[in-house]
Amino acid sequence: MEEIYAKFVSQKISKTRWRPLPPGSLQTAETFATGSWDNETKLSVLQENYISLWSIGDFGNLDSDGGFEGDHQLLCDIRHHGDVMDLQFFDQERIVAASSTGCVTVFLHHPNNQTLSVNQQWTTAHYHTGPGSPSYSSAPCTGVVCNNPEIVTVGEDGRINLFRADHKEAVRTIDNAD
Amino acid sequence: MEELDGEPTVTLIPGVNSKKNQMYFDWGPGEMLVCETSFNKKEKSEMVPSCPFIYIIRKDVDVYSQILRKLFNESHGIFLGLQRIDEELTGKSRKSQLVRVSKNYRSVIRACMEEMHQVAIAAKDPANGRQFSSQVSILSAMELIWNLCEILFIEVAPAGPLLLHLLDWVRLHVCEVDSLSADVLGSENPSKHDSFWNLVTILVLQGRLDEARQMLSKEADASPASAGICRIMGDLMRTMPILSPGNTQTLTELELKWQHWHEECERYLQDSTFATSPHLESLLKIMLGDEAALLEQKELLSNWYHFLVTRLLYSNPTVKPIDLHYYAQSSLDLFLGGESSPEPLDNILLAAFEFDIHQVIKECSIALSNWWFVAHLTDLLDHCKLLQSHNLYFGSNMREFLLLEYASGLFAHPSLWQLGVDYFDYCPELGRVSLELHIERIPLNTEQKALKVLRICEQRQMTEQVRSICKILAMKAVRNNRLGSALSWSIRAKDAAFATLVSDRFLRDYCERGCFSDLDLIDNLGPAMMLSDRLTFLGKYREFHRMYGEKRFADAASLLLSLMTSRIAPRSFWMTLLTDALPLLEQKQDDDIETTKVEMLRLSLARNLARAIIREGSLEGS
Repeated sequence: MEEIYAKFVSQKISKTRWRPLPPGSLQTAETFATGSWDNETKLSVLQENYISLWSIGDFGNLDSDGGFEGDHQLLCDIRHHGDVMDLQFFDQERIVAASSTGCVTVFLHHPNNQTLSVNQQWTTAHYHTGPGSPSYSSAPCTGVVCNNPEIVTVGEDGRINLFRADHKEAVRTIDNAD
Repeated sequence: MEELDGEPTVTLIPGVNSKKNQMYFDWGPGEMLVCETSFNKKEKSEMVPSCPFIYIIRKDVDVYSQILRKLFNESHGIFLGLQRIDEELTGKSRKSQLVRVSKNYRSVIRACMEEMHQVAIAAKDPANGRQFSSQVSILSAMELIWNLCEILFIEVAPAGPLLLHLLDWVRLHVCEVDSLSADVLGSENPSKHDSFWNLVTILVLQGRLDEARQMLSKEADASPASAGICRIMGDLMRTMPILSPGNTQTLTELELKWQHWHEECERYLQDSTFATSPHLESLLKIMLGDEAALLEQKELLSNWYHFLVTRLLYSNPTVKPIDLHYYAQSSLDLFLGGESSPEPLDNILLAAFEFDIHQVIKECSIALSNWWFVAHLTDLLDHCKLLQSHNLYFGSNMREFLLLEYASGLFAHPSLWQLGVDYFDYCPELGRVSLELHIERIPLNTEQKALKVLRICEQRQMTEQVRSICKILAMKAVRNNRLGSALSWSIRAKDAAFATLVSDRFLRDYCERGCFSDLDLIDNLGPAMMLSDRLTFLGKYREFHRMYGEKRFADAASLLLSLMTSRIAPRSFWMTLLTDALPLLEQKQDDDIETTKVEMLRLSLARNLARAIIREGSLEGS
């Protein structure tokens, strides 16, 4: 039976995704991202949710089958405001996260110093009552898909948004799509 | 109510002057709310309290520790496994299962200790490092206590094996030996090392006589002058009778042999055989169980329970469990020597040696900041049928009380509430009620989380809570103008009144905009349509529109007719229905349609007449 390696990370993980490999690559995937949920309270900020990048390979530990052995290692992580409802790799370096606060964030991975940073953010992607109104209420963004350079998000407000990387506003929005 | 055993600790709230103004407080599920009032004790009350803040005070911060989270999660799995152990099992197999569970708990504690130790070493900030180190000490103390409870209460080791278990216990917890051993053995001339004799002594103190003999042989090699006495001492060590696990000798046989060996040691002492080597002579005295000689090694022993076990090993190896507490109390007194007073840990261990389980649990509850330890230990001891079922004055027994407290603490944490659910499941008296109260108060910020909570409720047939949660979500959806969502939540809640409200909104929307929203929902209501009259009307009315759109005029007309004749149409909609009838009345179709048309005409005329009469009547009367 195959070996199973378990590591306790002290977070409830909601989504995990393999990093896509360059086209034509023959390797197996080595890096994956995770997003956590259910880790914040309004009263205390002792804990928050995180997007984390993990690596399992290339520590020189190959077993007899040529597979990877041993624990996965945390490469880097970054705080995420709200539950991570969905997670997708936009390309090799960028990860898009959908938040329960209605915000859609693009994170950029810097491989040279192993850090993650916020590359772009649409904070009011999903809402019940709009940001202009005094009773502004956000809605969770429940799903995201990417097809470079486009990002489509959906949320509990029944809205579908089409974003383009590096465009500040949504390219197209369909309200009440449900 | 019992009296307090000690003074409670005082916590100062920054900015609040309790000498001047009265404070106000209120309990929450896991914390306390405190603020200053404007009531002045001595002088006239001021308009406004001087401290403008409201404080939230929390005692249990452990629940937010990243590393301890592993403890909570893994022990949760062990707890569940324990509850599901077959009740039919009795005797030896049950005992071995319970011992295994106990060892599992302990290994989880040790794993957390190890991890926290690594973090403490790696900490960049010394204050942080100190905090982690003190947390490691607490975990170590917990494991020490648990291990002793396992030996005395769960394993229930009888005289003979009891001492072997206690020796293991001490060896596990006084671990400087290994680093000392590595130091000495790693050096060029081990027997000339400064700590050589310390190492040999501590090995003897821990009953590790084989290793001590090996050390002595190095000394014999290095200084041939003492080779002779080293050999004699080595022989003494080799021949000390001990009970080994596979041994078939009885306790009496062992006692006899041991007495014999003890007398041989005495003879060597009388003959001053080891007079030339003070180290060896002191080792001999230790092996004779001489208290003074043992107390000289206080520093190596490092604590009174080590002293106790060594003392027992060399003076009464076949000690019976019930006699332990005499030796324990005297060992504690001798070791402390009146210089210091016992710490809470010492009292807990003493209580364990006295087989006073309740005292152990009580002292642990006071000393520790979190209910984790006492809840799990008590539950395990309860499974060993060791706790009498006397009821506490608030209706549940001790095991259940502690589990309820622990689980409530888990619910105060944003993530760990899912663990708390299972603990409540295994509290037969108040578990369900507690779960019902807690689960309604979990903040639901996404539908996904709400569905998880609902699944938990539905699995336990908590229909009231299901209804309540669905109503809350339906209300939220209405406020956010998500009518389709609101309708499906109210259907799930089986809430007829709310379904009526939402259906009204749908119909109003239709009147305003001329079209329906959420068609996929309304078209596929199925039997749920029967929940409320208004909802039935909404579904049927939409069906009428669909039929009309598909040009099935005959069916559409009869449906419309039935909608009018049944009483489910709201008053405000009668005009709309009649208006809808107009195009049907205009059509030139076959006979069926003609009869229907006639029926409709008759109906609308009759209604008009009725209205007219009422109008006239009221006009005449006025």
